[in-house]
Amino acid sequence: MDFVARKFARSKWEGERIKADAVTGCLRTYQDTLSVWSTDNTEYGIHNIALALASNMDRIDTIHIIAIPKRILLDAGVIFENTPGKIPIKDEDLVGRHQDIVRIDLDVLSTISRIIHSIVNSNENCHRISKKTITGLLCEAVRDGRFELGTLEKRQDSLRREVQKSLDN
Amino acid sequence: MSNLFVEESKLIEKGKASKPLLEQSSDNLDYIFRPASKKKQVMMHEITSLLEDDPVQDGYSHPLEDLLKNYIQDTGHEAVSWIQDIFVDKISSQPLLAADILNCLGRLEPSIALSSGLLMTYLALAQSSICLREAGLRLIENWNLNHESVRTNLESFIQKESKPWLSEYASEILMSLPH
Repeated sequence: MDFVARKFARSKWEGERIKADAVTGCLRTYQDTLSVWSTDNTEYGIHNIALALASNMDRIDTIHIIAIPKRILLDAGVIFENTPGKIPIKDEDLVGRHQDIVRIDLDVLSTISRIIHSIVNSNENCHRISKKTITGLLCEAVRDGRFELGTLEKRQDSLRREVQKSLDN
Repeated sequence: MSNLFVEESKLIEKGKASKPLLEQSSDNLDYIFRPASKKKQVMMHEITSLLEDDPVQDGYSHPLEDLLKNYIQDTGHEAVSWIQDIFVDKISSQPLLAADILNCLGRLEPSIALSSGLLMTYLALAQSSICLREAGLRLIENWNLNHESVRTNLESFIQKESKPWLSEYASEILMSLPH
């Protein structure tokens, strides 16, 4: 897995400047860590990450995922730790692809921001996953027994309804 | 565009959209009798506070959705025009704030603010802010209307859009609209 992926708001990263709203909105850390997912950056791989991300969302929206070459981050001194993903998907392989970037300080945050900005401006490795695709991925996971709508939290009522509606059709 | 306002008026008459002012609960008389300009200021302050506390994120509900919904349900069409005024007022000076208002409005049922929502969307699609253009597309995607003006505006947007990913996004939405 040569890339790490993260959901982000692409439109905030467009343009010559790195806007503070992009950094504070998309790179919100907790205990100096940032959640990412290992991926091979293929369509199948990115769709799996989209499934993992969507299973924790409240509602189904089109999302953007950026895939960052892991080597660039490692060369910049970014430190990774393997931490199982907290997702309601019964898929050990997918759960095991979750990692945290740890010990983040202002320098590391700035480095990650510059790398993301550079990737967005190069127009590569940015993936838009549509509402329709996300709904399809969640439905497929329900059908193959990896995902149970009954395990979702109350805040995810909208997501549950949308998936159920799609399954019923 | 005038046809859109007629459509919303019909929805209000059928009770599918906002409630008239006099039908509101009487437990908030102070609010009801406050001058409209003051209420709009209060709404503006509440919107700004919510967005400063927490930016709107794709895939996650935002408290602004309930705020807008409650304002429209409690204050009727007047609230929709305040939202539109605030949006227009901020579209150049604070495009991200305007985009987030549109994002949250787009997560409500279309009937709650059909004509104003579309008017705001068409304005957003013509702006230089990418966040605003994307917010306009998101509203169209969420509302999924069988509406000629939506198709026309999307087609025009696709021809002019400079960002390939936004143009592709708009094309996908156009193809998925109901006929």
